[in-house]
Amino acid sequence: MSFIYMILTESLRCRREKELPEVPSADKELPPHPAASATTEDDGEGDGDEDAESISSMTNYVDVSVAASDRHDMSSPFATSADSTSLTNSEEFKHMMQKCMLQLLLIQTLNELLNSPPHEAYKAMDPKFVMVAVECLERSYRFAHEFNCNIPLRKALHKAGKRRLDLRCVSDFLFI
Amino acid sequence: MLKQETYACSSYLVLLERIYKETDSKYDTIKVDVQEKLKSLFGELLAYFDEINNAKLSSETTAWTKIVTFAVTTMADFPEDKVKATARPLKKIQ
Repeated sequence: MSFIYMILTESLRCRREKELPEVPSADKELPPHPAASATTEDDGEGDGDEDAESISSMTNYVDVSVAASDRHDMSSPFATSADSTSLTNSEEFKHMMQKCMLQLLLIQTLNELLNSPPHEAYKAMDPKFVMVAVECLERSYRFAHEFNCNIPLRKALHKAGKRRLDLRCVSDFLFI
Repeated sequence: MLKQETYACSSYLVLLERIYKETDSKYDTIKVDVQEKLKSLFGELLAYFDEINNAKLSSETTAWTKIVTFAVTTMADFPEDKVKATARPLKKIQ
């Protein structure tokens, strides 16, 4: 359980970190990669502070480039549409997909832990935590069941997904 | 979402079954609650499986068959009066 909790807190922390800093616009030119400048400027005798600084600037570079590429994907004509509402919608859709994937992975991990032959993981768990896991699994099952029973919603999502797929096929065909 | 539903249900069932069969005295206090949960889940599962089987949803039927089989096997370990109580929803369907 602590492993699952760790994954959850880590993913939340990463998301918060990504959301907090102001991201420069995609049109702006990205700064040169710090690793490239480090090879020319640094003689290999840098102290701890410099190392820490270069690491933080490298992570900034990665964050910015990821955010810029994200933005590029969304502003491309092959995203759902050009207006801002569709951009936020596609962003929300992305986040929802990530959440669904994460939840499925967590359930699979728990399933594997429970089905491991000597049942060591289960035996090591405190009854309190076992009951927490039971409640979480029940809620997840009920939510998914309710969703799967909602046929109109599933049809609408299927249609939306198909439209996105069609647009991607067109862009692939045009080599864009 | 079908995957999430079946995986979550399967893990939920496995966990409840383990607690129900647990010989450790630590679980004694929650066993009654677990038994009630198992009973209602059995009923729900059987009713839902019957529904999707009648609607001829092949992918869903395939995904649920293993879980229902496991549920029925677990139910076989239940005392007879409890099994009868669980089987009531099936009678309603017929």
